[in-house]
Amino acid sequence: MTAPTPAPLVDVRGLTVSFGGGAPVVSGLDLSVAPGESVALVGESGSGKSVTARALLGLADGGRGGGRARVTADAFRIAGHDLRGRDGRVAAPAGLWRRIRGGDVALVLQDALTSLDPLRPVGREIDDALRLHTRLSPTGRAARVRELLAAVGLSGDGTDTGALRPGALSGGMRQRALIAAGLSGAPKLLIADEPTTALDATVAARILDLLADLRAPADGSPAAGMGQLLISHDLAVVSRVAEKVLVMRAGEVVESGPTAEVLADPQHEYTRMLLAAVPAGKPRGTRLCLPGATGTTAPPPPAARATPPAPAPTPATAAGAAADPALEAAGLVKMFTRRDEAGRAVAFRAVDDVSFSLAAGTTLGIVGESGSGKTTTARMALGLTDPDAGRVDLFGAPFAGDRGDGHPVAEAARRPRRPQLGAVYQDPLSSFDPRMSVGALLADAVSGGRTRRAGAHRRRIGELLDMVGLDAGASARHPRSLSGGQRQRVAIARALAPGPRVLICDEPVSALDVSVQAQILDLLDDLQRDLGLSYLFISHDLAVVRHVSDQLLVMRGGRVVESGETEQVFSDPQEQYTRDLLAASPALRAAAPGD
Amino acid sequence: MSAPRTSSTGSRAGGRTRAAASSAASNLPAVAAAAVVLFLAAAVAAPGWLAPADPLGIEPAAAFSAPGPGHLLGTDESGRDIYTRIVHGARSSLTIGVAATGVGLGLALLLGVPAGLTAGRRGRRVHPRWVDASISRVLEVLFALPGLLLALVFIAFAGPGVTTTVVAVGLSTAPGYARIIRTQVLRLRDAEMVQAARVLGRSRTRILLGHLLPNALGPVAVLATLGVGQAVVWASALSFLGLGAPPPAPEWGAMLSAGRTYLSVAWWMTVFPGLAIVAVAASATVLGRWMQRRAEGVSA
Repeated sequence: MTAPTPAPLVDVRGLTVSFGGGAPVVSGLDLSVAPGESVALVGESGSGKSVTARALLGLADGGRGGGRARVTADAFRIAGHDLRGRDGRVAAPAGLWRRIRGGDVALVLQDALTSLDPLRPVGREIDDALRLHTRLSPTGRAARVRELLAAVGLSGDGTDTGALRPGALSGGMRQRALIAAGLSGAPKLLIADEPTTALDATVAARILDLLADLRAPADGSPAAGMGQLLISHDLAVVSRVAEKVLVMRAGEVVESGPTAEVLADPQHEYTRMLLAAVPAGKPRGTRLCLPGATGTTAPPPPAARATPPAPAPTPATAAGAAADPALEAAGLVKMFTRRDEAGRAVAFRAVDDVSFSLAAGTTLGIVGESGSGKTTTARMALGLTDPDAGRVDLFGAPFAGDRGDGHPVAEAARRPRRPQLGAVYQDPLSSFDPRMSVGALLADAVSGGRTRRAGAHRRRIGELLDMVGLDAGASARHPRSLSGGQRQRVAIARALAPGPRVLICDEPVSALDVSVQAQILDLLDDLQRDLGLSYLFISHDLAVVRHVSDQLLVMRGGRVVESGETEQVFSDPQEQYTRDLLAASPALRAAAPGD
Repeated sequence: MSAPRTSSTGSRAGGRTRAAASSAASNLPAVAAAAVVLFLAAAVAAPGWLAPADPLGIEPAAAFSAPGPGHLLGTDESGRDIYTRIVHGARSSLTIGVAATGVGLGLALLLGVPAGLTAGRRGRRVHPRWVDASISRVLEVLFALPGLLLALVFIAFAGPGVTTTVVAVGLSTAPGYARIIRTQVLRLRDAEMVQAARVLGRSRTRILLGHLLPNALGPVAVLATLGVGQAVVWASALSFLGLGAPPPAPEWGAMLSAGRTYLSVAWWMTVFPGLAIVAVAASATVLGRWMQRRAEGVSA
C-alpha cells in the first residue's frame, strides 16, 4: 500500500452535459483537484468551461440556453460526496447541494458588480454567508467578517470596508469582497470563473497573488489546503497560478497536464494556437495566428495570405517619425467635476497636459488603467469632446481644440475632414445602430449617410468585407447574429469605408477571447501595411500594446508618465509606475514554442 | 467551417422550428386581435360594404327591436339598426382614437426631444439646461392632473366637438409619451452609436433624424398601440358625457349615452356599442403587447 494521499476534492470522470436533448455541451470530461492544488480550465467562449464549473455545483440548469440540463458522469465525487445516481445521472437532494455550495465549494463569478447586491454593504453579504454555513454568534460573525476582509486584503488604512456598498468599491475591491464571501464557509474548493477578466493588469495581478496566497497552508489562513479551480480564456493568466491545466475546446478536453509541461511542449494543435495567440513577448509584426490553425476559427483575411511570412518593421517607423506626423496633440487638458465623499462637486483634471505625435504609417500605443484619461484623450483627438486647453492637428491642420486664434475648431469646419480619421471601439455592437444590418451600416458609411441600401454600393461593400476577412454574405446579416470577432471585423470595415488614413482604436480587442484577439490584431497589422494606415491604439493590456505599437505612451491619472520607442520603454522603464505595470502584466511563464 | 460549428448551427435551427411551433399557440390572442383590427379596418374603409343600410335611416315601426334575423343587433329608439351604426361609427370612433394618439405623440415629441437633448447639459449657449428644467416642470404639472380631467378642462374652454375631443384626449396622453421620449433621447444621445455617427461626419440633424428619433420611437410606438385603445375609451367617455360627437352621428360613446335611458327595455342599445369599445381596446392592447414582445426578442 502506498502512503495515504488525501482524497481529491473533485473526482469527476466522464462528465457529460447536454441541454434539451441537443448535442452535448461538455462530453467525457475528466477532472480531479487535490487539496491545496490549483487547476485551470482554459478555453474560448463556448468551449463549455463555465458549464463544467456550474455542473460541479449542480447549477448547470441556470446557464446559457436556459433549458434543463442533463448531467451524467462515470464518477462524480465533490468534497467527499458521491453525487452520481444509479443511472449515471448526477443528482442530489436540494438540501445537499445547498450544503455543498458555499459550504464545501465556493464559486466566485467574473462580474463582481452584478454578483453583489448594490444596496447591501459587503460586510452584510459575508455575514449572510456565515449565518448559513456556520454556527457563530452575531459577535463571532462580526469578528469573522473582519478576519475574512483582512484575509483578502480589504482592511487597509483603518476604514471599515465591510460597511461600504459595492458601488463605493473599485472593481478589484469588489472582486476581493466576492472572494471573501466565498471563503466564509471555509470551503475546501474555490471555483473562480474568469476572476480577473474585467480588471486592470495591476489589479488582476494582485487578485491572482491573493488566490495563490490563500492556498498557502499557513497557520491561521482561513483556507489552508484549499483546492482551486480557475476558469479562463487566457493561458497567460492561469499560467501564473495554476499547477495543472486542462485545455477545453467544443466541450472536450484536448490536452491536460502540469502547466509548465503544457506550455513548454503543447501536444495538441489547438493548444499551440492558443499559445501563439498570446501577444506577450511577441515582437511587433509577428503574426499571432498560426498559419495552419486559423481554419479552426475563421478564414484568414485575404490580405494575410498575400503578406510575405517574414515581417519586417515598417520602414516609416524610425525615419518618418519626426518628419510627417499624421496626428499630433499638444498640451491637451480636460477638466471634469466629480463628487467627493461629502457630495461636493470637485473639479479635477481628467487629462492633464497630454502631448503626442503619431507618425504616418506607424502605431502609437497609449496604455493605462481605468481612469488614467486615455479614453478622454481619444475622444478629444476624435473631436468628440472639446479640450479645455491644447490642440489636435490632423496632417498639419487644426482638427480639434485651439485652432490658433484662441477659438476652438468648430464641428462644421471639422466635418469635411472627418473621413480622414476613423474609430474602432471596444464594443462594436453598441457603436452600431441596432436597426441596421451589416450591409446597411456599410452602405451608410460608404455613401456618407446618403443611403442605407446595400445594393447601391454592392461592389465597395464587398471589397470592404473582403478586406476584413468576411464573406459577402455577411452583408445581409445583422451584427447581433455575428460572433464578437466578426462584429469587430464589421466595425473595422465600417471605419475603413470613408477611406481614412488614421484610425483611433479604443480597446478594440479587450472584450475578445485571446485567440480572437490574435486574429483582430493580425488583421489590423495587415491593414496597416496594405493601406498605409496610422493607428492610435489604446489599451489597458500592456502585452497587446507592446505587440502592436512603435511608440508608447504610458498614462496615469490623466498625465503621461512615460513615453518613447515601445521596445525602449519595455526594456528600460524609467518610472516606477511603468515597472509596476510591467510586473503585473500576465506573461507565459514558459517560452512560447515555434516562432 | 469546422464540424462543431456546423452542429451548433444545426441545433439552433432546430430550436427555431420548435420556437415557431410554440409561438403559434401563444400568438392565438394576437391572431384574434388581428382579425378584430382587420374587421375594423374594413369598417373604416368601406362601411357600406359590411353594412349596406343607412346608419341614420329612421324606421319608427321597428323601434326597440330585439336582436334577431331582421336586425342582427337590434334597433334603437328611432328604429335605426345598431349593427349598421356600430360599423359606420367605427370610422369616427377609431379616427378619434388614432388622431388623438397622433396628437399626443406629436406634442410629446415637441416636448420630449428638446428636453432629452438638453437635460444635464452645461453647454455655452446651444444647450441651456433650463429648456429641460422648464419642460420637465410642465410635464410634472400635467401629470399631477388626471388625464380625463385635463381633457374636460380643455373642452370647457374650447367647446365640445370632434376636433376638440381629439385635441383634448391627445393633450391628456401627451405627458406620458413625452416622459418616455425624453428618457430615450437622453439615453441615446450619449450612446456610442451616436459618437460613431459623429466620427463618420454625420451632421446633428442627420443623427437626430436618422439614429436618435427612430430608435427612441421604437418603444413609444409599442406603447402608442396600447394607447389607441385607451384613447378610444376616453373619446367614448367624452361622447357619453355629451362633449364629443353630436347626437345623431353614429359614434360609439354617443350611442352608449343614448342607450342608457332605455337600459331596462333595450339592453342591446348599450351592450353592443360597449362591446365594440372593449374589443378595440382589448385588441389594441394584445397587439401592443405582441409587438413589445417581438421588439424585446429582437433586441435581446
